[in-house]
Amino acid sequence: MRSFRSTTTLYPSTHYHFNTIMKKVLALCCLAFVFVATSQAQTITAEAEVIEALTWDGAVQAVNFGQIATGTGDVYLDPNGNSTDNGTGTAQAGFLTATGSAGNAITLSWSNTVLSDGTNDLAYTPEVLGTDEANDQAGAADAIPGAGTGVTLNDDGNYYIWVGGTLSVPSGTPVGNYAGTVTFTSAYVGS
Amino acid sequence: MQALAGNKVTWRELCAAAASLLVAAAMGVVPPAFGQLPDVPAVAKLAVHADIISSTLDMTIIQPLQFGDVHPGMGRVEVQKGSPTIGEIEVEGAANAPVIVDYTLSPNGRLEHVSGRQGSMALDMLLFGNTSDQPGASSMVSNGSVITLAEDGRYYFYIGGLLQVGTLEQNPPGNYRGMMTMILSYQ
Repeated sequence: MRSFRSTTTLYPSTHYHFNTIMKKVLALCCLAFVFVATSQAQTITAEAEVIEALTWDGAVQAVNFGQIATGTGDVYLDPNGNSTDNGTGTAQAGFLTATGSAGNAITLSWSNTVLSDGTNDLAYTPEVLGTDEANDQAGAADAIPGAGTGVTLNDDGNYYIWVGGTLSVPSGTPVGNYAGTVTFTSAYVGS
Repeated sequence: MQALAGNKVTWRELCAAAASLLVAAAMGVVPPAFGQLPDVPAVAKLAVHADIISSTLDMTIIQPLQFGDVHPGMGRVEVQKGSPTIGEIEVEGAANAPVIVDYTLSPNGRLEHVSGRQGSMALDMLLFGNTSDQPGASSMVSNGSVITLAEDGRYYFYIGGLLQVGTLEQNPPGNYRGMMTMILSYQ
């Protein structure tokens, strides 16, 4: 009885062992399949490009019309040079550099401004020219008229901007120092 | 079959595991955020300056250049910047403004006899300048050069010279006079 019982109790145990082995075999087959599939997926090229954040690097040179006699009228400061057509004193075109990931397209925008002595305003219309060539103020020829102008950063990730423009100094303008700020914004195309 | 039927849950587990692995594998090849461009624009503020100055330059003659009494045959007579008879012009314009200086002596760089008689004296003008009224500390100003007005917009010119007095025949007695014209303009 004991051995019969033993026999009868052993049979299910053997069956369970068979099932367990089968399960493991099937599991291994499935995992192998999955693993093969996974291995194939890993052969697909995965690329990532780290994009540098856009900045305005280097020395920023202010726009300076120099000294202008009151009532002169319109005074033009050439972005390609450092002189005004009928101003006086030492004038200087503005300069700044947009910096980011080399070869990427960006948009440049700037806001208009007036020059003020705190009480009186003078109309100022910037003229902005750009180039991807370093130290080439005279050769800067890309017109950047205002909102969303597309340009491309050079191999060093730079784009150079020169700023001049026209300042209106009508008759009766009080003498004094006038100042304003042009705000430049750069953004990657598609960002 | 009985064994397989008894393993239904295991198949689901296997399928779930396979699916999970496939999804995980797929996740590995799909760039979730790769290549995305930074969406924060960069902003720079560029200062713009202009100094509006007075449109006028006022000149006031403080004192003319005087050589005083000279005698025929004296030769060269000098009035230097330390002399009390040196000429002086005061300028008032825009503060710190650069100014171009031009001057001439007529006629032909000489002093001529006032009565119209024959005779003239050659004069080499000497021009000195200073931002304060201190002739002794003034510096030579050459024709066509650029001077800078003081913070109060003033500048002082001192006019001396080297006068060549000839013989009695060349320079008969009388008064001799020349006219210096100074033109100042903002640079």
